[in-house]
Amino acid sequence: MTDKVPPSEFTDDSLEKVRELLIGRDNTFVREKLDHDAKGVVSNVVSEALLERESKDGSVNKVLVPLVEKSLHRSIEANSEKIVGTLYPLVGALVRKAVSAFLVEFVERTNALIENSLSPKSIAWRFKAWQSGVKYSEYVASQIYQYQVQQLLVIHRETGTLLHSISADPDKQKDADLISSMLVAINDFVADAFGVNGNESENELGEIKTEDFTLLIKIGPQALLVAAVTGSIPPEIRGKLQQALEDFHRFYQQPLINYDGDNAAFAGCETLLADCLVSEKKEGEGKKAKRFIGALVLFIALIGLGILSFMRLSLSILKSDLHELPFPPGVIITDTYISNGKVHAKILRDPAADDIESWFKDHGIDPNRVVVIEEPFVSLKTSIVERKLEKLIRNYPLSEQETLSLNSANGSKWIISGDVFAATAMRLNQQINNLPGISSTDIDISSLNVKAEYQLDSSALQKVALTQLVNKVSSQSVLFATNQDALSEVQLATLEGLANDVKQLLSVAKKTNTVVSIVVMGASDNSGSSARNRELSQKRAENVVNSLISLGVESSILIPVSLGELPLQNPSMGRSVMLNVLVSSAL
Amino acid sequence: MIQKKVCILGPTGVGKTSLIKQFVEGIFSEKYKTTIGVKIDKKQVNREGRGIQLLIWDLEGIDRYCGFNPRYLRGASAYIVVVDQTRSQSLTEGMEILELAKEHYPDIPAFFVINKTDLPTSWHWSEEELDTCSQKFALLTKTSAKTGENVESLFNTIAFW
Repeated sequence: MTDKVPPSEFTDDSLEKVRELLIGRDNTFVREKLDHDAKGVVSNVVSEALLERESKDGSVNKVLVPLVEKSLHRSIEANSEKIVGTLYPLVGALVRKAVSAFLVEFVERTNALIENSLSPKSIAWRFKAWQSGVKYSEYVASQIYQYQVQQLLVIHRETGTLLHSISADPDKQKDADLISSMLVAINDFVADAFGVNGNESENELGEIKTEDFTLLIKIGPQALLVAAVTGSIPPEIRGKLQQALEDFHRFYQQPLINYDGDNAAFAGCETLLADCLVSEKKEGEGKKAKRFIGALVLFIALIGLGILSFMRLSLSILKSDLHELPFPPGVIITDTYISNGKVHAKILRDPAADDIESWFKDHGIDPNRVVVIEEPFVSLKTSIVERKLEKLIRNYPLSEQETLSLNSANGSKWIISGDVFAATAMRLNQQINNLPGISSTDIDISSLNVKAEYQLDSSALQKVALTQLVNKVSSQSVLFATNQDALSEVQLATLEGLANDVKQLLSVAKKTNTVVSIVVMGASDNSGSSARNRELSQKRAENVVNSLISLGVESSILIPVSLGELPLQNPSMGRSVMLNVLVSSAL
Repeated sequence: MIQKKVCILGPTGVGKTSLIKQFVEGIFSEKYKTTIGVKIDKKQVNREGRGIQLLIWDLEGIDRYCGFNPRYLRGASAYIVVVDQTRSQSLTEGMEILELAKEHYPDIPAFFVINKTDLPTSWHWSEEELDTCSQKFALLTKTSAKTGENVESLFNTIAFW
């Protein structure tokens, strides 16, 4: 038993030692060796390993995306200013580009609209397109473009299946896969029919051409690039296609070699091909000129818009100005509105007021910009009434022997003076009294000398005047409140007019040799005792007499009388002082 | 979308074009029309949410005086050799075509189709002889382009082979 144990221990031990010698304790040598060149070992295969794992189960993306997102987020948080600084010029350029692209597109669209909508050329084109059974858009393209790459096909060379296609007109894309296969079949046919022993590639189709249509076929090791072009092809197109095909092979080398009918790997090749989908319009200069026309239209539209809004703004300002300005006396503005590029103002104007146009000019408003809709009205403003009075006096028709003038005293009283015949005086007096609002104006005609035109006629006229004045004075009365005898301000003002009339009456009476007495009769209503009423009416009569005397009327012609209470139906009629003028020829 | 190229070969008048017409358009035309060169059709086949687009190359009738352009088979996922069970000669020619195709493209699976099953069998081949022939193919299918028998299943099988 004991003999058998050592050899087995020995065997175990030596194996362990050999292993230790070869690879070190715990694989140290292997690890050291690996550690030493770890970077080199990994870097040799890292890209391939990543690609292989990604294509196997897509796990690389799953791991990397959150990591990248997280670090990007952190980086932005930590260096936001730096990043903003870096992005700033880019964003500016982007915005500018987007705006200019928009403007260019707008201008182009405007051009297209101008060119294609209703010009004689477009109508002719429509007719020709209809005649030849071509779609209008296609006909226009053939007329406008020097050449146009209408469709690009990338075809897998071996199977003839379509890898990708792009087209200027998306409608045409539907049968690209069949076309691709047929094209490859034709290519095979050509190679077979005209092939020289074994040298097949040199006999493949490079171009298929009709009168105005060309298929350009570029052949690469794994794929064909086919361009359907209308018009005459400039040489640089071929170069471009070749370049695109080479790029395609470079980018998609692996998927091309391992192609099993799945096109998913080629989905991103659009950007490669898009550069080849080019076109050039006929008459390069014309394009510029037309772009200029478009820009001009845009510019004019903008200017027009600017002018319109400026005009509208200035009209609004003018409108509000009209509301704020103090209009001249005798003019009232009732409404303003803007219509047909002008401000309309509805106003009421007294014919004696200032002319509105000259008033506009005085206040810096162009009368041509305002349409005035004027309605006449009568203003009771003192200045307007005075103006009317002035006008009446200045323009009064007079005979050669007559004079008439108007003067203002203290700015409030108007004195009419001069020598006129009685008829004129009467007419004038009547006309003055007819002026609306004249009652609030103080007019003195005591300096107006009324003279006889002829002796006989004059006395007759004077008599008429006397009669008129007698009637006028007799018709006056002064009203009092119940149980009142004092004169109010209003009554005093009435008495002022009365005093003037009485003085005129006296002056005419003198000329006509007439004696005048005025009976001033105080009365009262029948309320209260009759003694009190008698006293009240006496007082009222005396007060009126006294104030007339104080207004310059001779006291000798005034006879106060107390009537006592009057049993009238309307008691207020009784609370008054009435006048009665007694006239008799002088002895 | 996966795309697969399938070629149809066979002697003149065995019903290649009719077979495709039946499959692609679901119609059978009594009118006989010789195919000139190559005619290409496409049809999508779906199974379990997976779609395969078949691009079917119909090669013109082949007889012993004019061969076919084997280049047309290039890149094909499969090819079908069609024979007509009413004509003994068609099998002989079909086998010659198979030999020619195998010579150029030995790795592409070949499918054997005996067409016109709507008509009574009138060739002189025995079942044993037929068995020997079909050994060289991946699959034997008996079809009728007229009734549509087995046509759909033939192409479905090829699509997901």
